[in-house]
Amino acid sequence: MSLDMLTPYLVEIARPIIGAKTIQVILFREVLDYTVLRTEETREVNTVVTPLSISIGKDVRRAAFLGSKQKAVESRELERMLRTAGVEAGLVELQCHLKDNLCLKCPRCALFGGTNVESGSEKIANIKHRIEYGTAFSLLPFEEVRVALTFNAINDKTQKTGQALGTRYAVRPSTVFPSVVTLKSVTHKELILVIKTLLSARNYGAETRIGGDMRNSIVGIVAGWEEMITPLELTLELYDRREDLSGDTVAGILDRYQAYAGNPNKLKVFTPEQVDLMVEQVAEVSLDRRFLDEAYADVAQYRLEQKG
Amino acid sequence: MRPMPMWLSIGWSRKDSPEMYKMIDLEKAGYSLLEGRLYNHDYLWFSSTEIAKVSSTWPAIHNYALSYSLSQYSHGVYRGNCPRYEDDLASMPLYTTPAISPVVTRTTITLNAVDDLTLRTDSGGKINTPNLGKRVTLDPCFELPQSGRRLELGYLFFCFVRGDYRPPAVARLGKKGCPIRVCWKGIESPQAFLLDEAVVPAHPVNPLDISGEVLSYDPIILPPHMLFRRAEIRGDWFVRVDGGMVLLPKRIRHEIGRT
Ligand SMILES: [Zn+2]
Repeated sequence: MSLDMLTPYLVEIARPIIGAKTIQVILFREVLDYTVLRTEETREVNTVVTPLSISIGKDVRRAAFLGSKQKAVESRELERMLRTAGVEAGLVELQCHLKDNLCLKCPRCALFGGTNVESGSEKIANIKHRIEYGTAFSLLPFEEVRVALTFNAINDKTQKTGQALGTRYAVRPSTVFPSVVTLKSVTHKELILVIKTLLSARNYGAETRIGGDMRNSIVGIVAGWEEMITPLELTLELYDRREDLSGDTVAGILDRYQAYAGNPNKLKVFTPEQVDLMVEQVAEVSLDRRFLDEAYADVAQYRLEQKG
Repeated sequence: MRPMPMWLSIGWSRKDSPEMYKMIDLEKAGYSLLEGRLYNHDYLWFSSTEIAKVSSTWPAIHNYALSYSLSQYSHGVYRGNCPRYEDDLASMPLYTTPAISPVVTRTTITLNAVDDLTLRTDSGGKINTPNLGKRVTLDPCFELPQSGRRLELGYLFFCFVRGDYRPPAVARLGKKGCPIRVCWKGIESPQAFLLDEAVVPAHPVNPLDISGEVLSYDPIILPPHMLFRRAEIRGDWFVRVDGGMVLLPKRIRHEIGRT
């Protein structure tokens, strides 16, 4: 099984003390509908000044897709998946939801971390997250991906639009955000859950009313004792190769970054064929009773160890 | 420690050939010294900014935070939220100076954590994460490496590394795990000297790392402890790096003394 190639970078069981084993999943997040990625009340798309590319230092603005927004959606997606699979497998329904009712017993809590919020909870240990996100930057400069949307008020009685209320900027469909999700000391099952989550998460909009539909494609996997590349570097590298956004291009970039690592001999860049096979295998795994029982038992073991 | 007014502080060390009467060969003592230039590739935010006066916060990184990050030292919190700095630092393979950046820009980010049950951001609850809040963060920073030109942006710091540990070039920093890239440069044959004269180190200083006399300092308030953005120190140990002075932290010197 191709996934077995990742075994040296996975842990047998998740533990409170996190080691160096690291897997980076490289994604293209592609916008399918007009999407407002805002962080401000002004409802502007959030932008960041960056060099145009890894070879051209000219400053440009890029749309920023905050790591916290990606994480919020994917954390909920994993919860939804566990809930549905759990009910189907005849388990007690998962009682775990954001933001104040994390159960600290499920694989979502074990992976994304959680703080116990019950009163007088000081003696109950928290869980540190082992999944890391980073803000993703649009492949193309903001000027090339933005669209101005005018929005109108609709009169309920006449169903006619009134006057234009204003204009706001959104990013247009087909905008690509190269992105990285990093896993630290995760188990085989956690890896499967994360990849399934990335493949099924879709709605990322700041306001669900206006778009936010995205499609994630997993285009690369690199493993080692540290992270090899950041989302910003990935975007700047890919801009120069934007005519060929393929797994081969990504693998080529990752190969070059290997040299900068603190422990380059521990790093392994997987080929696009290997990555595709891994993703296929993950898709085939079913979240049946046995899988879920074992995954929850792992979390129980983690908590037991925390109690010492 | 006897603080003196800022106007009394003098620039770089007065003489170029300081009187030296003691020396530590760091390599023989099992240490290497690296110069690091750190770039935050995402919005960088410290919990210090939860306190008011955010915009006056220096773009400085505490050396404890940096040492945790580059040691890849991370653990689930066992009891409450109290870090055990001394135990942790003693077991880490490296120790850094604080880091500072000459130029940064900032962005305010509005957070809104939605409650899944109510779909609101203003639901009550005894929580330690804000429902709706603002965060002033330091903008991502990137510098294109160009051959023949020195890097000059990002956060400069120095790192004392024990044994053959290789610090990572990409790590995570701050409460929100901002991805950072560090460009490392090894310092050849680092020697530390006990200097009797006043020296202003080439980096910010954690007061707990000083064993000499502080003649003047310029403080930055930064949890968990204050830092000196600039300090003038007499009678302490320093390593000369490219004409600048790097303070040999007290804890490293003690560790060397023990072995
Ligand atoms: Zn949970």
